[in-house]
Amino acid sequence: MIRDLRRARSSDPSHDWCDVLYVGSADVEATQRFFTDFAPESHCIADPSGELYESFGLGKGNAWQLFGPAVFAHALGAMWKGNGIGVPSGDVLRMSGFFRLEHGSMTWAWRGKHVGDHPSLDTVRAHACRTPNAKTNSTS
Amino acid sequence: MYALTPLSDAVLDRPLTGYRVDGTLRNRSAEGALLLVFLRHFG
Repeated sequence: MIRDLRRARSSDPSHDWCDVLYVGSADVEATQRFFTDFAPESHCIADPSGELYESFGLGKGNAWQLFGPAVFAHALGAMWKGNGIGVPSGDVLRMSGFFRLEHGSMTWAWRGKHVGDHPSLDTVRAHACRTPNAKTNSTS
Repeated sequence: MYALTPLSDAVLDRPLTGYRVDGTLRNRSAEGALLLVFLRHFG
């Protein structure tokens, strides 16, 4: 998703992109290495203890969320897109999520149904605009 | 160059009543919309 978002931002500069802040579950050193190599312009928080994840309702996945058929379908799709499988850094059990914050409140929330789940780039793009109060609360 | 924000600077109010956030996140989102992306892992 980082790569997709970076591509979208560079290919569509006319979109009123808001700031994007990444949160990762790896330690500071691994997070630093990753973003230095792959997204040096990005802002990120290293949260190895999962405190911030838990605060936003992102717990650890259960067996179905980690190993269900939808997860394998997603993995195949990711490989088809050219995303390799490397040694993961961070908590591989942790669920992912997207949240739009505006004036101290959450105006959009998306939490994955399984570890391979993610919103479409169009959905993220629609919520990643600077326009105030453009979106309503929603979860999936 | 990216900014690696220590978690201690982004601590939230507890409990997270009505999803209101405090500290760095509130300050940043007060300036405009902020998209927070929780990654699963790197690699």
